[in-house]
Amino acid sequence: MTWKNLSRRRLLTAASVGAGSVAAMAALVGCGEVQTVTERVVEVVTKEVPVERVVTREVVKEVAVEVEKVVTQQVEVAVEVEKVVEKTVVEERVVTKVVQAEAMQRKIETVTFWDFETRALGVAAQEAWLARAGTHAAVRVERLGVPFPELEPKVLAAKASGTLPDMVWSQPDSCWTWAAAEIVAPLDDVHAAIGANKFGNNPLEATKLDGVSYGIPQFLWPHIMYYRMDKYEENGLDEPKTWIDLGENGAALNNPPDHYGFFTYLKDAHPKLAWNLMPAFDAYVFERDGSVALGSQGTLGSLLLAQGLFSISPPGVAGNDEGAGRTAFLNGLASHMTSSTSFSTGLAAAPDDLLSKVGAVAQPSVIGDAAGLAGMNILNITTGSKHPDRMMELFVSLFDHEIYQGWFISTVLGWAPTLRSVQEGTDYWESARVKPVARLVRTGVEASNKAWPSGAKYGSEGASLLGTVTARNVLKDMFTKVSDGGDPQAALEDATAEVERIVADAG
Amino acid sequence: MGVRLSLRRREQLLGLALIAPTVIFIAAVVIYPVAATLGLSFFSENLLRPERGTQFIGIDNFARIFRDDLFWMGLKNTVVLTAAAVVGEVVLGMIVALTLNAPFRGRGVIRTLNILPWVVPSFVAAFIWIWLFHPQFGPINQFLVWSGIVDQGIPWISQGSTAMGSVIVVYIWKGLPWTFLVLLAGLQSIPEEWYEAAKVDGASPWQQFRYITLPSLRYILVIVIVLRTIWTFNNFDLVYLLTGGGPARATVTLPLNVYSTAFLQYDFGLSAAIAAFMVVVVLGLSIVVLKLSRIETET
Repeated sequence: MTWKNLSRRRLLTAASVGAGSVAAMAALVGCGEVQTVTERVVEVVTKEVPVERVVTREVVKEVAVEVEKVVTQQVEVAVEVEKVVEKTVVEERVVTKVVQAEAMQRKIETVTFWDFETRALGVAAQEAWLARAGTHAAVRVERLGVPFPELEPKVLAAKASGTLPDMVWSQPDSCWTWAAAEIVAPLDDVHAAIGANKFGNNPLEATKLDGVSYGIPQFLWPHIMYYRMDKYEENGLDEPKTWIDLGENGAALNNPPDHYGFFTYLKDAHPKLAWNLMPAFDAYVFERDGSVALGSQGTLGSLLLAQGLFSISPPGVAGNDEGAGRTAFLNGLASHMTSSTSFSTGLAAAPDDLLSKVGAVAQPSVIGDAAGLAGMNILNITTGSKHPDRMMELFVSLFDHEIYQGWFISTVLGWAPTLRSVQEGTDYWESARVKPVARLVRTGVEASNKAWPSGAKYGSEGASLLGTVTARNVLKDMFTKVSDGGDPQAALEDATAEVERIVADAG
Repeated sequence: MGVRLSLRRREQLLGLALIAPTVIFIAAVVIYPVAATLGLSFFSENLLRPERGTQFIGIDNFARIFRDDLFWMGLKNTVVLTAAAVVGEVVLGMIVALTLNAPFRGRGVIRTLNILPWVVPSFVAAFIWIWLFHPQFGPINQFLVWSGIVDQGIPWISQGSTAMGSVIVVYIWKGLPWTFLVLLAGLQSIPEEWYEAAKVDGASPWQQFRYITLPSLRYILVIVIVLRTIWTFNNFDLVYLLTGGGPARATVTLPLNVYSTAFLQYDFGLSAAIAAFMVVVVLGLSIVVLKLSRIETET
């Protein structure tokens, strides 16, 4: 080959093949046959001539000869690498076929899964994720969508009748309750198979009862504080860092009935306001030993903070739910509101580039380090599963970095990943759909490190009792009384007395 | 040689055979569930505590509900809601029926429009009223703010002081058409001659109402009151959709109590005890009212 017939295009082609080969080989580390080629490529790279000398037409003849040698060597190496790559590809195909053949040889088991996802995108992405992971475990997942309010009674009825599915979705409070009722199985062995330190400490703790994990954290939707950055700029306010900042800024922006400093809500089935505020004051329903801890100064502090927020919120707090809050926020009725990271979907779709006008911070702590509601969904294997071994294989595949990330990039916008490798990598955050809302979701990941599920630091100790406390709206009513002008101390005393009665009745 | 049955006996057997399917059906879908619920109220049955199984505990469930503030709050609210709604429906129903019984142009159209709330499904009715009551966007509050009566909208169904009153309004709105229709049918069955004779005797409109209309409608009124009382006492969907029992239990009723105890706390034994209590109250109420009407009729 001479310099004349070595066109720039061919040079670049050769170089790119070389670079691609290096990358390919890097990915194939561990394959012995690649080793010798790697060394030769390294040798070529060290002899590489600066590009400006190669592409200059006035290059001297001896340099051209040198370049020709180098290029010849590169091309030779490239050809060899191509062969190796081809061979590797063939081998990979063979391996794939072998894996598939092995899977084919193994009887494909059908496992059942109950979840409560209803969004078309969420359903489709989840089914694809399950199907992809299922091929590795020779498992076909038969999913049944059960509306959220119906899932718990259905699960409890299935336990009673011995017809539990193999796997089920839960959230921390139901995970604890179901663990206590021996509906979901301990999964420490699955965690060991997936690998240590794959998940953040807080989400992992939320799956535990008495120190044993009963589920795998699937995704997060922590509640974060959204605020109108444009209003802040107009009024010369700084980014809020404490609850005092938030209260003062909210009061400064409060201009009823056209605009309110905050939007608070109490109508949801779960007492989200209590679950958001109580952790910030290190307040919880039960002590670690299961005794009642509700009547603490921390709980009173959270009620007093709520009382302040109600005064700069639209009237009818008890009649508003999170959905109403989101609508109000999107329509500019309020400057602040707490909501889950999945609100990103609505903000991304909002007109007038609203997304760029909205900021978010993790909810501040007042006493201790905790704050905010740690919304999350958990994957559980039930005690009724007929295929525990396959389920373990399935779970290991589901939480494989590539498979998990592939699912996460395509699923509901605003969910935050639990897998630390995805949180810490760049692929997910840089993906086209996620990038515009990445700062909000990242805030959610940050929040999840300090948030507590169900506002109950030690709720897992009194799992079923906590469920009764929620079912009887004890926390919600406590905050509602304050929103209705009631005395926080009296509301707290009523609630504490009721929790103590619940404990006494449970024997 | 077969046994020869008398004609009377054969007729009796035929009658029994003909009504047997209906009796079996009613036993399966009415008597068994009621009996099972009453039976369950004497057992401990909690799905969250499967390890305890089902145990006979006598009247413990009843003892528990009688010391529970939530039960008494539910009972008080149920009685208030039922009494206020039934009285409102009957009084307004009577006024509307009397008005629409008189001949005037467009009467048919107004009668038809009056029936609309009855045919609207409960969930639609609930959402209509949630919207009407909305503090910011509801027409009621917008009018009040626009007219300067209030500075900010009133959270009608989400503050303790107005929630029950608002729920009662919705119940009256929903139940009024049925009451009006039944009373109108009763009014139309009263012979016109009676009123003409009363007029000739110099009776005032009030006297005509007091001495002709009311006595003539007495039986219908008893039926209306008993049925509306039972239906309102047992109603679950409308109040559940409107307020869910809130704010802070201001509108919680016994049916909501039964639901939350069974399907949120999964304590089926306790829930059955509350349901059994309701059955006894409604049965007692019905017997008392029917006895009163019988006494009235006999005297």
